[in-house]
Amino acid sequence: MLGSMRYAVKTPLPNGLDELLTHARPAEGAPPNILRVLHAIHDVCGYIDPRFIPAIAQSQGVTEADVAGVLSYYPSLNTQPSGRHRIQVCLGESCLANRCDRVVAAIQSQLGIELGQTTSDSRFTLEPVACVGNCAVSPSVRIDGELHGRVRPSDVAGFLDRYR
Amino acid sequence: MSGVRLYLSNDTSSCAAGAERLAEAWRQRSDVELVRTSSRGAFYLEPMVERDSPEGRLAWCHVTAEDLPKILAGDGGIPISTIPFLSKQTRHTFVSFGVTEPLSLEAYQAQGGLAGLRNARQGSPSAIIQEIKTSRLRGRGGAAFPVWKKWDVAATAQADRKYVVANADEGDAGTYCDRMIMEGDPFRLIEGMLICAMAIGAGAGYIYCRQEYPAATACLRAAIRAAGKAGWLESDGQPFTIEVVSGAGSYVCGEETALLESLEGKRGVVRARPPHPAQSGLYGRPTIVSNVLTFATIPNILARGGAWHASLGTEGSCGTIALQLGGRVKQPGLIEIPFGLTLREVLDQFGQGMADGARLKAVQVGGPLGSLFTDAQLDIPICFDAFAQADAILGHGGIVVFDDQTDMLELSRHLMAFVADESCGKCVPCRIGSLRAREILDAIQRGQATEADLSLLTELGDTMKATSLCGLGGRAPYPVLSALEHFPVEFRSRLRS
Amino acid sequence: MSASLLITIDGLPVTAHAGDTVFTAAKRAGLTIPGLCTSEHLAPFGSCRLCVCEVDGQKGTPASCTTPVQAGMVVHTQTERLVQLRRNVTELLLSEQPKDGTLSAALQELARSVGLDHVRYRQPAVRDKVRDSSNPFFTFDNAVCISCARCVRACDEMQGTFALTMAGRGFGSRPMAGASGYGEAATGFATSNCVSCGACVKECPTGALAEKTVQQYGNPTETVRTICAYCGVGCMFDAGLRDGRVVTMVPADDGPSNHGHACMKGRFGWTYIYAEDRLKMPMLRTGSTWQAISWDVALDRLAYEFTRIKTEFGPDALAAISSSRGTNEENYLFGKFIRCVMGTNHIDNCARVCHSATVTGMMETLGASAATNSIQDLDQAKLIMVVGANPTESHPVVGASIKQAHRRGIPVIVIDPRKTELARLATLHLPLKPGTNVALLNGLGHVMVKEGLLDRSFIDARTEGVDDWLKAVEACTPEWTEQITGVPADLIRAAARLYATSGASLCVHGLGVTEHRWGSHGVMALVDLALATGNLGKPGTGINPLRGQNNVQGASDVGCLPTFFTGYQALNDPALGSLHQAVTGRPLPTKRGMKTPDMWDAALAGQLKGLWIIGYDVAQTDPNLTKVHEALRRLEFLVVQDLFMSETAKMAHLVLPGAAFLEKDGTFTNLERRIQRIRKAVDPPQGVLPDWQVVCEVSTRMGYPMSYRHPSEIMDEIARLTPMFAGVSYDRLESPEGVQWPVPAVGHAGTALMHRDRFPKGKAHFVGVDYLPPGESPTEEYPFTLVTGRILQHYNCGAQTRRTDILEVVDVDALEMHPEDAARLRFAGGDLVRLVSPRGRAILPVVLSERVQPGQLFTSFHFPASDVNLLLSSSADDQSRCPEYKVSVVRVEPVEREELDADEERELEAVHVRLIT
Ligand SMILES: Nc1nc2c(c(=O)[nH]1)N[C@H]1C(S)=C(S)[C@@H](COP(=O)(O)OP(=O)(O)OC[C@H]3O[C@@H](n4cnc5c(=O)[nH]c(N)nc54)[C@H](O)[C@@H]3O)O[C@H]1N2
Ligand SMILES: Nc1nc2c(c(=O)[nH]1)N[C@H]1C(S)=C(S)[C@@H](COP(=O)(O)OP(=O)(O)OC[C@H]3O[C@@H](n4cnc5c(=O)[nH]c(N)nc54)[C@H](O)[C@@H]3O)O[C@H]1N2
Ligand SMILES: Cc1cc2nc3c(=O)[nH]c(=O)nc-3n(C[C@H](O)[C@H](O)[C@H](O)COP(=O)(O)O)c2cc1C
Ligand code: SF4
Ligand code: SF4
Ligand code: SF4
Ligand code: SF4
Ligand code: SF4
Ligand code: FES
Ligand code: FES
Ligand SMILES: [Mo]
Repeated sequence: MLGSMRYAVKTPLPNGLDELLTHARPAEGAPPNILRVLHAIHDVCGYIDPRFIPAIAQSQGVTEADVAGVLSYYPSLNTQPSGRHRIQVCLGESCLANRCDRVVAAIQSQLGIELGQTTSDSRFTLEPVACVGNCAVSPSVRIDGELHGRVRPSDVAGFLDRYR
Repeated sequence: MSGVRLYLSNDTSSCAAGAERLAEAWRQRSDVELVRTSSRGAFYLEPMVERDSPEGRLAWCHVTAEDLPKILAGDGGIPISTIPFLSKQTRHTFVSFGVTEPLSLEAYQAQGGLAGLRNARQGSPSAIIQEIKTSRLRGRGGAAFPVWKKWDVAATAQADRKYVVANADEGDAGTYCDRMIMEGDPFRLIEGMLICAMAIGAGAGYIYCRQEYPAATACLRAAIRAAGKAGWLESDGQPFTIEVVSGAGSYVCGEETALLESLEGKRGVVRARPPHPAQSGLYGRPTIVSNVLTFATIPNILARGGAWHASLGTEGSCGTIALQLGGRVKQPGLIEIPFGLTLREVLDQFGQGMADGARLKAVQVGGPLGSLFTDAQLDIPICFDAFAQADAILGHGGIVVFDDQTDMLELSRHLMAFVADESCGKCVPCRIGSLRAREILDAIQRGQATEADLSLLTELGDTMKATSLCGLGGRAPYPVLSALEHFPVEFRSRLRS
Repeated sequence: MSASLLITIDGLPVTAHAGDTVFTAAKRAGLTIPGLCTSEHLAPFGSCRLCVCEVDGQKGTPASCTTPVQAGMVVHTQTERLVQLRRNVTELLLSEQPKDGTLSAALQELARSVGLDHVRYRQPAVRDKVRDSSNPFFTFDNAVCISCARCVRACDEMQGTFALTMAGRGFGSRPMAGASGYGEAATGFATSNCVSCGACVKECPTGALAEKTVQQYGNPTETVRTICAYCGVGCMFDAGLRDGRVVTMVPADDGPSNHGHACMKGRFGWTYIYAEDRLKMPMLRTGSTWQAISWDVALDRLAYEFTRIKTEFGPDALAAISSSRGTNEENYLFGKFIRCVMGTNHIDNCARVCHSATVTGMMETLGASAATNSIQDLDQAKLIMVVGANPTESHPVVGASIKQAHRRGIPVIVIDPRKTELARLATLHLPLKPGTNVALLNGLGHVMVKEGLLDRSFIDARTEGVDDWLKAVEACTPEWTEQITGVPADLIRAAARLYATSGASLCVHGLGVTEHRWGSHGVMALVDLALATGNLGKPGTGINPLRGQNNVQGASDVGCLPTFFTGYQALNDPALGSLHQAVTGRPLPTKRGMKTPDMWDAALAGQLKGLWIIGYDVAQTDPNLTKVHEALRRLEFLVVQDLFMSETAKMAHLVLPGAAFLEKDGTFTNLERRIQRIRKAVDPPQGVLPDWQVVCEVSTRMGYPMSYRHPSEIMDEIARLTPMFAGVSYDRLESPEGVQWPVPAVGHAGTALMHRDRFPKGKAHFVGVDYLPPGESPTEEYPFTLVTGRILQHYNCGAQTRRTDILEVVDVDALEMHPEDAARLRFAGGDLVRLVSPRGRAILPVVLSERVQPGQLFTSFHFPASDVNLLLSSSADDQSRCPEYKVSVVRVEPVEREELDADEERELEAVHVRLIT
């Protein structure tokens, strides 16, 4: 019955993000910054649940379309939780020249997933990245925060074992 | 607590090469005093450990944790000055690399830091701009636009606020010198931005740093805090704020107008120009967007004079260029030299040829949008004009060497797929064209394409070059078309007859 | 005027203006460069790349729509190379379109113009299938879209609603309403904050966004230029016709007050003209039975009854209420009828309940009672102050202009108890208690005086009586003001400084000022501020009442007032009297007539016997309905002329059908005094006469023949009788600009900016006014203050908007209650509550809303079922008799569903509410 009613009232937020959003309110006279809030939420949650969009919009004084537009634009903003460990393999040209394809293949076969996928046990998410600035020591693989250079396919098994 | 003082780079690549593992292994040892410096940029030697000696620093290369006794004993170290990769360079911007601790205010000043800023403060804004004009410095981010012209426009524009923005998006694969500066000599970037702020009358600065560089971001933030505490951050007696802002994985956000949109927290979509950012940039205010390396070049110019800078390099390309060598070359790493050497000279003298067992097939200069060179074309002098004439770009100085196992069709498809993925989607030639080009390359790979498709690809490339709104779509065809030109057989042999 | 410069395009010399792009310069010179992403309403964007050009001396092929002109530049737009590039870009555009031959007309035409006959790409990926038909008026089909983002930019740069975004990036990027890409993509418009202004639809070059009426009836084949008949903005439209039927209403780019923009009501809310229950025949009521009768019988009956009453009880037993919705000509004629045939000045119009306090207040201070400046001045103002008005809902096109000014950095002050959309955006929002305008405005004045912010030279040169005002504001310190109004003292100081020092402060005001116990005082206090700071008589300044109905300005201008003749001429002016006699052949009655509320009293007292109401639903929209209904019931003969069986019509003895604006010729005068032509686009229902012809017929039957062949003849007569319209004629009105009164002579250019050098009285008068409390204040029994007003989607009595698909968006008057109050009283959104006032009760659903403050309630009055006006009192402004619609005390009680009767139940079945925030 009240399906299409829109309340001009704050949307309640799960996960205690209230405070984060209150904090992210633009100061008096300052312009909003959607990407900044999205980053902040991403840092806390590891992804951005699209259900937060109304609350984010309200905190910045912008519309839901504005938030959704930004969220959908940036590749590094996930809208779904990723695995416990994020493996980023570099597909940049220097890494490519140094046969990163073989490294990728090794990881894929170890984990049984393709680029962009998460293992069924939610342990690993495998993502491509286009250069991490480690080209002189390529090919590069970043697992969570840690960057590995000059990675050989034979190194892969050893790495993965370290992340439980 | 006074063990032997060892210098170990804290640079991301050094760490990835093993420096961090050494640090972990040695951290607890009382006989070692570990100093974490920036990197010399001779990455092929890393992890590299140095210690002081009467002949200057000695270096141990490709060090493992077990090498410590040897080092402590002073066995086998070679004087840095005898490493040709380094000694043949002309280091001005990267002069402190490998020497100082990145966040030490004292070390920065001891190496001549702040001299430029002091000189700038002595003169008027127009004197600063005049000095830059004399230096003939051109932007290092890719477009090679004369720096003074932008500053002049922003300085004369009337506005309630102006901004200085460092483009630290460093999106080109194969480049890393901005990252090195931010991690290794952040005060130099800050000093450059301060000088710019004084010249144009800006009160706030931003460093838009790509998300893939967490260490650089952290280091910059620490450096800004330290500089602020030390009272360095002011422009014309007014406080100058600098904020580091993270990107979110979009390549085109390195394009200056998309960057500004992204800085404002919006979709990183390219703006039509004019107006140029120097007239109307961040929040519609006059804004200088310059590359990190460009800013880092400024302090020396103000310290030593524009004429000094103009005396380096070639007629059209003054000063030094930071080349970043990567791919299948024997000695990858950072090379700062005056403009003018040929590409072959650089590859031979610094790269020392190909990695073991590899044969050169192609060299890509200037990132994923840069043209490909074959062995026969390597005698091109490294300077903006020669590259422009050859329909190529120097870009941000990244050089990636491919060996003869490289499938040029696959490389072309990969590069075009990259553009299609990274297109902001605003303009038709790039939004649709990059996908169509990729589809044609896919079809060739599948053996389903014909000669007609190949000429369509060529024509499409021409259309993208001529009509794209920004350099992404506009440059995207270059590597593909140059691959097609130089390696036609690899394409044609896979056509359907 | 911007400097002009000479450039060469395709070998032709072209005069361009500084600020032109190559594209706009070429277009003005009549040269066509293909281009799909550019629009005169939007900032240069440069996304389709079809408009590429070559400039001598420059390399490359830049887009002409983003290339500014430079003196002497030589441009080519049609070289072989450019045509080839365009063909290739077109080929790319076509390559992502569906292959089933449903190519949009624009792309077909483009392909033809560049000579593209087929697409060479084989099996290219095409656009995602996304359809969104959730908007009642238009649909989106991604398959035929070209991602040019004109829709998104229109929503941002014209409407300022930001309901759209481009979503994703690269090939798949597409427009999206709200955040629907993350949920039900097909319901984006319905779930977003879209206000259905239609700007996106108009900008869409491909038909990816398309009107449902066009999908149903086909594209229009001809257009007729006319004016919207809802609000006082007076938007100009092209009515699109096909097979004798209106199928579209598209805002005209050269509309002087709307420049191609519009709102939901004007753009899509016109379909009521085809409503099933349109009145088509005169209806006579006997007891409770209705009988359709012929026009002859009806007109005879009307003439008979009015003649009878006049003979039996004298002229004062008859009165008329004219429609502010009708044309100037109809209104004038109705006034003429009442004065010449009835012989009385008992005529009023809806302005009474609306801006009569503005008329009183501005007459007394400035000597003229209309907007001093033009809507265009919003572009020149350096500060905009919005007092008691909610333009983004009530005058949406003006609201959009204010939002755009705000985006350009122009500070906006909003004085309103509610957090309206503009209040949310405003630089300063002063949320005063309802009914305390005078205190607040005096408080602002006090700060200006104390801080030396007055414009002394303006005061000396152009005004009188400043001491009166100085005395009035003397005691109104910010702290005192805070106590009365609840607005923090610092906010008061800040607002006073901003208004006084901006350099050009433009004020718009609305019913939040006028519809109060002391409405006229509020207007005077407002004018005083403008006088004290020199914000009058200059571009970008002024006091600008946002007049309500399409022709409420005009209805008063042409004399449908009991106290003035046309052009606000005094009734007892002997010169006017003799002119009137000469022109009309009848004397002008000099005795002031009754205002509408006086008519109710007179009816209740048995003195008023006959009343003729055209297009005004007093039985729903006047306050204290119990009393109004009783008064109407007492009448011996009530005639109502309307499009529909309105609440008032239901009580009439005789109901006459009227012709709607699309069915007649005439003129409306908008809120900036602009007289504009409306033109007949379609025929009224068989037999239905326009209101003016009905008046003529009755008058003739009553022995005073009126025969005009065309409304233009009526306008000529108005011009003869009225100095301020002396130069108005239909010839003059042919140009899209219309003309802004005063137009004191033939050939006069009209008056965009009033009081430039002198006021009508010579000098303007300060009138100091003291704060007096509203008619009633909350008590323990009635603890809430109820404010009534408008919502975007519906219009006044709702007779028209309720007969359109707007009902899909909003179908009820909802009660906005602050969440804190709701929590305290344990109401949830959607609960039904009973409002009880000392006068009556009304049942409404609750919406939790932070637009209202705790202790305050807001509702609209657009649905007869909600009985809102039963709650209101007859309290009114002393001087103007403008009712106190804005302050009533009420309490709120829960209602159980079982208490409702079947009708109410049905009304509340599907509650759609959409708040504009
Ligand atoms: N969509 C739509 N548009 C309309 C109409 C419609 O019915 N629907 N009607 C038309 C007509 S006839 C008219 S007259 C205009 C009216 O247009 P507006 O003048 O905008 O009318 P309202 O919404 O009634 O009231 C305006 C504001 O006054 C505020 N207010 C209430 N009390 C006070 C007070 O004491 N002080 C101050 N400062 N503000 C107060 C209310 O909160 C409200 O936001 O709109 C016209 N346009
Ligand atoms: N509670 C509360 N009540 C209010 C207000 C408020 O703020 N709060 N505002 C008041 C104000 S400002 C106003 S102006 C009134 C408006 O109230 P009304 O004037 O009663 O309402 P409208 O909907 O403008 O139009 C009245 C009638 O005119 C008819 N009509 C339209 N066009 C034509 C035409 O061309 N010819 C004929 N013959 N009929 C036509 C319509 O069908 C409709 O029935 O409401 C007032 N009532
Ligand atoms: C697709 C694209 C990506 C770019 N990426 C970068 C980048 O990552 N870093 C950079 O400094 N400039 C980049 N640029 C160039 C910038 O637009 C701009 O020219 C530069 O930041 C100006 O600084 P400079 O004058 O110091 O070179 C890019 C340009 C394009 C078209
Ligand atoms: S092109 Fe040749 S001559 Fe010109 S600047 Fe470069 S190196 Fe010098
Ligand atoms: S060329 Fe590509 S990235 Fe650049 S504006 Fe066009 S679509 Fe965006
Ligand atoms: S109809 Fe108006 S408000 Fe709705 S999306 Fe289109 S432009 Fe925006
Ligand atoms: S819907 Fe129309 S206006 Fe919007 S992007 Fe698509 S084609 Fe352009
Ligand atoms: S703003 Fe007023 S005049 Fe314009 S379309 Fe809307 S209702 Fe009609
Ligand atoms: S290309 Fe992989 S790190 Fe740069
Ligand atoms: S019209 Fe110029 S780019 Fe589209
Ligand atoms: Mo009104």
